[in-house]
Formats: sequence, C-alpha cells, structure tokens
Amino acid sequence: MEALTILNWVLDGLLGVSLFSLAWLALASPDIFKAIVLFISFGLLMALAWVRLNAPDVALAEAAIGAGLTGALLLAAFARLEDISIGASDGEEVQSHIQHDSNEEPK
Amino acid sequence: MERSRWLLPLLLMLCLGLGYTVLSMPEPVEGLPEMLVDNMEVAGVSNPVTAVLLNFRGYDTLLEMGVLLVALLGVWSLGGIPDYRESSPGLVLDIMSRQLVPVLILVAGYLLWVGADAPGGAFQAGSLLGAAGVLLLLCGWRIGNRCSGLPLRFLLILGLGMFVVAGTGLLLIGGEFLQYPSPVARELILMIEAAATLSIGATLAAMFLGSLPGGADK
Amino acid sequence: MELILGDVPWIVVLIILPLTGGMACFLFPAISKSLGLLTSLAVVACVWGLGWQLEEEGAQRYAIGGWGAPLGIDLYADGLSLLMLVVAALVGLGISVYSCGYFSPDKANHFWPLWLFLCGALNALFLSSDIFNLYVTLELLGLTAVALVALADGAEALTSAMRYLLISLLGSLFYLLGVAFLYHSFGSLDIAILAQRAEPSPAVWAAVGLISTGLLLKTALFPMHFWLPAAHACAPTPVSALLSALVVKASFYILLRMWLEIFPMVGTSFAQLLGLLGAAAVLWGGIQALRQTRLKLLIAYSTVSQLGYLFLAFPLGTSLAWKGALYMLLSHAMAKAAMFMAAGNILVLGGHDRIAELSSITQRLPLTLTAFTLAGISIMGLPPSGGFIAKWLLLQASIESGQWWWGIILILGGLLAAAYVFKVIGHVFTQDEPTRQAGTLPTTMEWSALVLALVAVLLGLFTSWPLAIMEIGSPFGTGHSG
Repeated sequence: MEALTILNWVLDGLLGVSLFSLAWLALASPDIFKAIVLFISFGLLMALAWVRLNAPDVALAEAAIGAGLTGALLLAAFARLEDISIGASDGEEVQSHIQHDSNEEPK
Repeated sequence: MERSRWLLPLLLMLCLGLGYTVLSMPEPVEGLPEMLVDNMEVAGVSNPVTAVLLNFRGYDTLLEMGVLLVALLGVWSLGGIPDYRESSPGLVLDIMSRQLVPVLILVAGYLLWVGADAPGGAFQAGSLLGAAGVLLLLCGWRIGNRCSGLPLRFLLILGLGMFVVAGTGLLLIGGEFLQYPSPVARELILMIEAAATLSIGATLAAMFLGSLPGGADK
Repeated sequence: MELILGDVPWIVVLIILPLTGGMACFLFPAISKSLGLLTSLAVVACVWGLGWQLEEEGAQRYAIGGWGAPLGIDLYADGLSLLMLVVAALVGLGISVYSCGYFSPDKANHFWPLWLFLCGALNALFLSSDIFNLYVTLELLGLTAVALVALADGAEALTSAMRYLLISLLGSLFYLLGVAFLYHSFGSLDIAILAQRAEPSPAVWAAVGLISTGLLLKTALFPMHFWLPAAHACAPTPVSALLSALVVKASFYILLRMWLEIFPMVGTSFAQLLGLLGAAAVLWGGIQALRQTRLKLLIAYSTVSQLGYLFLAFPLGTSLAWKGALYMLLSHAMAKAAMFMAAGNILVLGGHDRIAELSSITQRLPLTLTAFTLAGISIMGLPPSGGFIAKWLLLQASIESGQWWWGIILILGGLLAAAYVFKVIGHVFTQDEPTRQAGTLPTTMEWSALVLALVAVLLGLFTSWPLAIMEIGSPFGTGHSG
C-alpha cells in the first residue's frame, strides 16, 4: 500500500506541474495557433485532474465543453482572423476605412 | 510590456497567500453531505450530483440555462450573417462523420438516461449533441430555411422554458416553486433534463455556426 | 383583493416574469417592443405587490423547492432588497419607454430579449440569500450587460465591451474563490447561516479580501474603475443609462449585504480603506470629468465620482450612514439615467456630443435641457433633490461619529460636480441660432428623460417614504455595525 500512495503522490504532482506549465506556455506563447492547441491539451489534463478529485461528472463536462467545444470555437475564430488579415493585406484601404468610420461616430 | 514587471511579483504573492490559506484550513465541517444522504430517497435519483443540480439547487441550473441562452444571444447580436450555403466535405471528413455522428447521438442519449444513477446528466449529454452538431456543420450541412426561424428558436429556449413551466406548474398545483412531489420526482427530473439536453446541444452548435469562417467553402 | 395580494409569491414572480418575457421576445421578434414594455410595467406592478406584502408581514424568506437552507436555496426580501427592486423597476420602466423610440428594428430585436434577461438577473440578485446563487446571477448580469454594450457598432464599442467582459470575469472568479473558502470553512452557502457560524480565521480573511476585490472590480471603485468610462460612453444610450444606474449598483448591493451580515468581525481598518478609496474616487472622478470634451464621457466619469460617495458610509458604519448611502444610490440612479437619456437625445438629433458645440442643438430640445438641468441639481447635491438629502444624511453621520473629514470630501465632491455640470450648462445657455438640421426626436424619448429627472428632484421633497422602506426587516441591525 505504501507504493500505491507514493505512486498517487507522484502522479498528482506530475499532473499539477504539467497543468501549471501548460497554462503558462499557452499564455506566454506569441503564436496564437500554438496557444490554442496548448489550451486544448490543458483542458484534457484538467479533465484528468477532476477525475483525481473524485468528480467524474465535471470531468466529462470539462473534456467535452472545455477542451472540445471551446477549442473548436477558438480555432474557428482564429481562422476568421486569418481571413481578415489576408484580406486586409490585399486591400489596405479597407482597414483605414474602418478606422476612419469608428472615429466619426461617437456613440 | 511595462505592465509585466510588477505582474509577476503580484501573481507570486497571490499564489503564496492562497497557498498558505489553503494549507492552514482545518478539515471541512461535516453537515451538508450527511443532509444530502438523508434526503436522497426523497430526491428521486441516486446520483448525488444530479440530485443537487436538478432538485435541491435546481434554481441555480435554471439560471445557468439562462446564461447559456444569453451567451448565444450575445453571439447573434454581434451581427455577421452566417453561411447558409451547403457544401460537400472531403473524403476523410465524410466517412468519419458518417461513423461518428450516430455514435455521438447514441452516447448522448445514454448519458442522459444513466445520469440519474451514475456520472452523466443533461450537460454532458448536451455537449455531446453539440459536438455532433459541430461535426455536421464542419461537413457543410446547414439547417433548412424552414426550420431556422421559429422552430430553431423554440428548440433553443426549450431548456429554460421547461424549467420555468415545470416550476410554475408545481407552484400552481400547491407546493413551492420547483418543489417536486416525491413519487414523480424522477420522471420530472428526466423530462427537464431531456429538454435541457436538446437545448444545450442546439445552443452549442448554433454558437459554432455563428462564428464559422466566411471562406470555408472556397 | 387583499387575499390575492397576500397569497401570490411575488418574490418568485419577480424573477420568473422577466425571464419569460425575454424568452417570448426571443421567440417573437416582431412584437418584442410591446412585449418588452408590457413586461416592464408588470415588473413595476409586482414590486408594488411585494412591497405591500412586506408592509403587512415583515421580511419574507422563501425556500425554493421546499428544501430550505442549507440544503436548498432561499430567497430573502427585506427593506434593502425592496429598495433596490424599486430602483430597478422604475429606472427599467423609463429605459423601456426610451428604447421604444431609440433602436432601429433590427437592433431592437436583439435589445429586448437581452434587456429583459438583465432585468431578471437584477431581480434574482436582489432577492437571493445564497452566496453561490449570487455568483450565478452576477454571471447572468455581466453577460447580458456585455452583450448590450456590444450592440453599438464600431471598433471602440467592441474593444470596450471586450475589456468589460474580461474585467467582469476576473471579478466573478475572485468572488467565486472567496465563496469556496467560506463554504469550506463553515459548511453552508446561505447568508443567514453563515452570519451565525462566522468566526475569524486566515481562510475567512482571505475570503473577505477575495470577495471584496471581485465585487469592487465590478463596481468600478477607484483604482479599479479604468474600464468604466469607455464602456459606458461607447454603449448605446439606454444601455449606458442601465449600466450606470443599475448594473454597477448590483455588486455594491452584494458587498453591502455581506458587510452587514458576515463581515462584521473584520474590523475598522478595512472599512477605513474602503472609505479612503471612495474619497479618492470622488475627487479623481470629478477632476477627470472636468477635463472631458465629450458629453457621454463626462457623464461616465461623473458616475465614477458618485460611486465613491457610496463607499464613504463604510467607515461611518451607523444606520444613518447606510441610509444616506442608499438614498444616494436611489437618487443617483434616477438622475444618471436621466442625464444619459438627455445626452442620447442630443446625440441622436445632432450627430455628435462635443460639449463645446452643443448650443445650437440644444436650442431645439427644451425638454431635454430641463431634464439635464434637474438631474444636474441632484448630482450636485443642491436642495431640493434626492442628492441633497443623501449628502445631508452622510454629513450628519460623519459629524455624529466624530469623523468630520469625510464631510470635507462630501463638500469638495459637490463643488467638483457643480463645476462640471455648469461646464455643460454654460455651453448650452447661449443665444445661438437653433440648428437647421433635419430630423425629429420621438417625444417619448424626451419625456422619459424628464420624468426620471423629476423623480430625482421629488426624492428631495418626499423623503419619508423611501426611508420607511429601508426600515422593513431592519437590515441594518440595531443601528451600529462593525
């Protein structure tokens, strides 16, 4: 039984450390795509953490919504950002037109 | 950024303070878990998480369904017309979705049913349905024009609406708001959870559509 | 009739009615305007019903699901909640009337469901007695507010809405962490039970700090006010009025509730800190308001300044001081909503809100001008107005408790407010030619601003009724707290 508790501690420690480092890397990464992928893997490890905390319901929800759906939404938003920036580099006046408009309308 | 110079020490102090607080806390006061176990037979389900979410603290879940709906309203109010053109997917996506979507729907139904006695429940099943919806949307499926107006909106408010209708109905019958009579508690919970599952799935899929990249099918 | 009024659980109706209205507006966008107006009127009627019930039977506690705390969630209504509900219902009615004429049809389809959900969230917040339930209502409130701010078009509005969202989420997370510590320490989430069981310990100190930080972020107390001016100025006008009058007061209400019930053992130093930050907010907000060149930004900074007055009551701590702060909350809500509506009228007719060039537009809007001036009287604290009564109560409390320096802050704040209100009025009362720009303003927009400003002034004359409401259920204890 001693070995099991030591194993538990090691696993929990590894889980905690990797959660922390994944979160830090995701926030500090300059490349948005890399940050999103790190965020998704953070979500999956978080689901494991919930299981270790004896909350399987929350683990299911975290894996599905936190990692899966939020990741999909972030990737979709990122793809749209790429489209806008590609479009803008083709037509510079589009960007400045938007800027000009927002200065004109003090709402 | 000049902000990051004092951000790191601040975060470190916060971490240390929280760590000290957590380590110094005594064992939690027993009281609530015992009360939970005592009232479980009256609650109608045997999974304590479902009992708390849907029966003891069902009002919180009612408000959370509202939060989900408001999130979708916010996404829709930002404008931008979602893609209403159908398109056909590539080969791998085609085959994979044909396998996965029926399995997802089946597992969602299973999670909904088993949530009364084992880990599962409305939110988990609903998120699986949402995932199935996202997969279909990625394959280029779009909801038909006839169904995208009132029927879709009805499906979206079904979860919150069922909660409110059930609560008000129980109020009118003679009890308190959301007071399930013990014999029918299990069935009522299942009914509310089913409505919530459909609603959550539709909301998550609709949120994904609201933000699909415009050039998806060039 | 009395039988019906007494039996209906108005507490529950007040929460369910706006939620149902919001769902109905979402389902049937074509009739959303009339549904929204109807729901606002119904909410006012329900608040009146609840007030009648509280008068007859004292403070009410309602156990949802029949379980009762600590197993279930309790709703609790006393004088303090009733006052907040009255403010929300009246200002909400004014905003509903104003919005009928303000929004174009496609924006209106998005506005009405969001506004009704915000109304439901406010009611649920003011009536809840469970700290986790308060978190859920805070989330609903914050999300609807952000979505409403983002209704305005343009990069400025979207950036300020995003900043507001992130700050709001940060505040909610701090609050939730504090709730977790309290639950772990005392085993219950109900405010009344926590009030009995609370004892000092490191966990409770941490919880107090976290909860207060989270709520202060949401109430935009100096120095955490940086998100407020941009968000309130860039939002559509009815939304600005909503935010300044109601949404920032909701987190203040929670802080007040926790302060009166659970935090009394924390001691006077924290109260002094809150008072100090409040004083800084009054002075800083006033100075910044003087420097603004755009009307809506000036009014937003005025909100930052006026919110500081509310926190002056914490170091004073007597029942008189709390009543003064709540009277300030009440009159500020009316006056600020009226001010924002007046600014909105000017914006709609003139197309801009640069203060230096307002004179030509305002010549065509006499009612709006009157509304702005009356609201300004309340903000300045001149008699007769609600603002004057509130400052008088706070002044009395500060002299009685020997902490006369807060009185100096009150006077300085009043001078600053007079300065920036007269800055606007001075530009306006000139003999300019009325602008020949085409365009009309729906009269409902002008009248709703005027009515709310009149209420703010009348609050200075009819003081006994609001003060009596605050007494129901004696939320302030025996007159001294902390």
